[in-house]
Amino acid sequence: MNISIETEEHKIIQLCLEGDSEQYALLVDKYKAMAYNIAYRMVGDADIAKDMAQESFISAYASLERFEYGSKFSSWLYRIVVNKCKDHLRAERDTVQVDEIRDIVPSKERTPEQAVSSRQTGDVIQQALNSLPDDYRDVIVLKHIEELDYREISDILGVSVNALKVRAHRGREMLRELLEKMGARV
Amino acid sequence: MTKGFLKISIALLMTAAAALMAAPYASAGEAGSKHLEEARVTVQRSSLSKEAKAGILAKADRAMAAGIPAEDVSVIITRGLSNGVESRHIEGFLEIATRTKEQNLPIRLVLDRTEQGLAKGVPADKISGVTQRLSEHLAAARPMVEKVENRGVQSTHGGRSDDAVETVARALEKSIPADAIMRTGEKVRDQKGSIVLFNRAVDTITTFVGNGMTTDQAAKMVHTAVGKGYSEHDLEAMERYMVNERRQNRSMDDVVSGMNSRMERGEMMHDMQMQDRTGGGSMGGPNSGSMGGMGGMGGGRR
Amino acid sequence: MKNTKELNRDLIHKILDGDAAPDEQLKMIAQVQADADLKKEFDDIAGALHSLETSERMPAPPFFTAEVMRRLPPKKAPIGRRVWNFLFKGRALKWNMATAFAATVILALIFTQVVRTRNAHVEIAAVSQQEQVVTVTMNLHAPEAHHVSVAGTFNKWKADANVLTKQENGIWTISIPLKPGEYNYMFVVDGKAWITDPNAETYSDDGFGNKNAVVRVKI
Repeated sequence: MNISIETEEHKIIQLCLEGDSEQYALLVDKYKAMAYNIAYRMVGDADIAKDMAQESFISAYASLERFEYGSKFSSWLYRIVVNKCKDHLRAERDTVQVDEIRDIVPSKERTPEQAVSSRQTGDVIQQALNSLPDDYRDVIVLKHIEELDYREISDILGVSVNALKVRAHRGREMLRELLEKMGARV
Repeated sequence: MTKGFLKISIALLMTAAAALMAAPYASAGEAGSKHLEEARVTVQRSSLSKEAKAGILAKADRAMAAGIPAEDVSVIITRGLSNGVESRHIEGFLEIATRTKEQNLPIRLVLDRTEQGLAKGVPADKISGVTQRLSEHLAAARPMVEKVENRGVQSTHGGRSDDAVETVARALEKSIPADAIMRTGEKVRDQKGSIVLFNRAVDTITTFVGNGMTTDQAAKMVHTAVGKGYSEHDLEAMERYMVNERRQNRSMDDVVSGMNSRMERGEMMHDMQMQDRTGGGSMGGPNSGSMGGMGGMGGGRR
Repeated sequence: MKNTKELNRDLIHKILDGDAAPDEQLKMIAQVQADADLKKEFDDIAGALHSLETSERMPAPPFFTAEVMRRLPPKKAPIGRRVWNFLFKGRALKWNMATAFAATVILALIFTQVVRTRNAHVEIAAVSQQEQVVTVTMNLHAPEAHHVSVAGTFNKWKADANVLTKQENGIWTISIPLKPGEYNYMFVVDGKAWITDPNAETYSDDGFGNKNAVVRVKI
């Protein structure tokens, strides 16, 4: 008896669960850019972001049985990414004392492969983001960089839409103040 | 989508109504003997030995004499036979049901489990094992429920006590300790609740445990809820809330602490209406049905 | 009590969330034009967001996928899963399989999409004066299935008594008149796979290791 699977992604997950791990590469390819970008915007460092993103894919694979069909794989994955990043940020804070607003210094030199046209504003934005509290940062990143809607963000973060909006509003206000302080004009 | 279902529902409703009223209201006896006749025929036609056939039919007679509905006896026999279950097991099923009934214990759950196990293709000895243990749990549950009633929880007439006995039996099946159950009774009594509330509370504990909470977590949560005056409906809403939270892939520990802190803040009851998902998939209440997507002005500046 | 400034700020955010009605947006524009401070504030926030929205999306570093694949843990045969996992995976009950494959778990899977409407859709209907009966509608999204029925405490778990009809959108549906009470049920797909309704209001163990869906019918 064969009930065939409905979507491509679910097919892939099914195969992975049956032992064909090579199929997972398809999912990784599909979502790696988004996972990496979310991680980068959360932690502000390219190398750490890569680690976070890769580890998230590995975690997701390890707990693939817990993934719920009928929900989006991407939402589930991004939740793992955001949580890993926040754990990292918390751990970092516990070991190092940082000021409210970090020094305005480019955080890391980009390697040639990662070099993109370095627009001054780009760096400043990231620095401003780095200064937001984690709980504001993730909403801002997901809403205004990844452009997800509140319902999906709610799925990812497990927070009610109303609470998310409050955080988004406050996050935007803080962002505005930070950018003003840094003298960035767009 | 809802409109479509509405139309279909109403259409079906009309036909259902017609069907229900048209069906001859056969007396229990008549309907019963019809079923039993079918069962007898099935047994006779089977390839069982003469002794085996006689054995099953004898057990069937005894079951009916004890008061077990003919339809259930018939379903168990015919389903068992078509599954290829050995006659001794079929006799065993009827035996367990009969003995349970003869002890004046509620019989609905035992029969349902037997029929369910057979329908799902569960191995016969596993069905016997489960129903036998269930019967023992029922026997243990009855005095517990009586004690709860004696201590002041109002009993209602009708089959409510039977419901409670079955619910307690299911809780015992899940290894929920007797004192947690009795404590629930105390909490209900303190709130001047009835056996119906007690039934719901124990059932909710069982459901929580079945869905992954530890016994401690489940019992504590329900006891707190009852202590705060939660009604049956509130407890049911808590179950739905838990299910919905788990659907979002949160760990049970997270869900438990979330629910507990909401109860602490008095938010749980009110929020039940908010979080309860109804048609359209709205989340978090009336304000969330936004246009989503990007903001009007900000986006336009691109 | 919020002052005008705060109210205006709220409105700005509402617009940025996409929640403002067209007339509110017009109102905002008018106010912004009129008030220089407000205009600045709005420009600042919108500008910050604009920077975010147009900031680069970097591609993932090279060899990303290869590195992930190299580090994947080996997949063990899933034995002794957590209880919850049974819920959302339609699976053929172990004992239903006549073949040797019975020993391995998960033979066939139905992926039921979370249909965002409530699954057991309950409507009130008084059928006759004597008895109050409620019509319960159950749905299952299974476009690849050929036959779907529902078995439960209301029909003594007969796997062929209540058959669903398939709709164009791949959703199978049935409406059953039920007296008020609590019922356990499961869907049976193609006569063999017993599926737990992923959209049930709550769940109950069947005593044999499976989870039944529960529907509570009230007047």
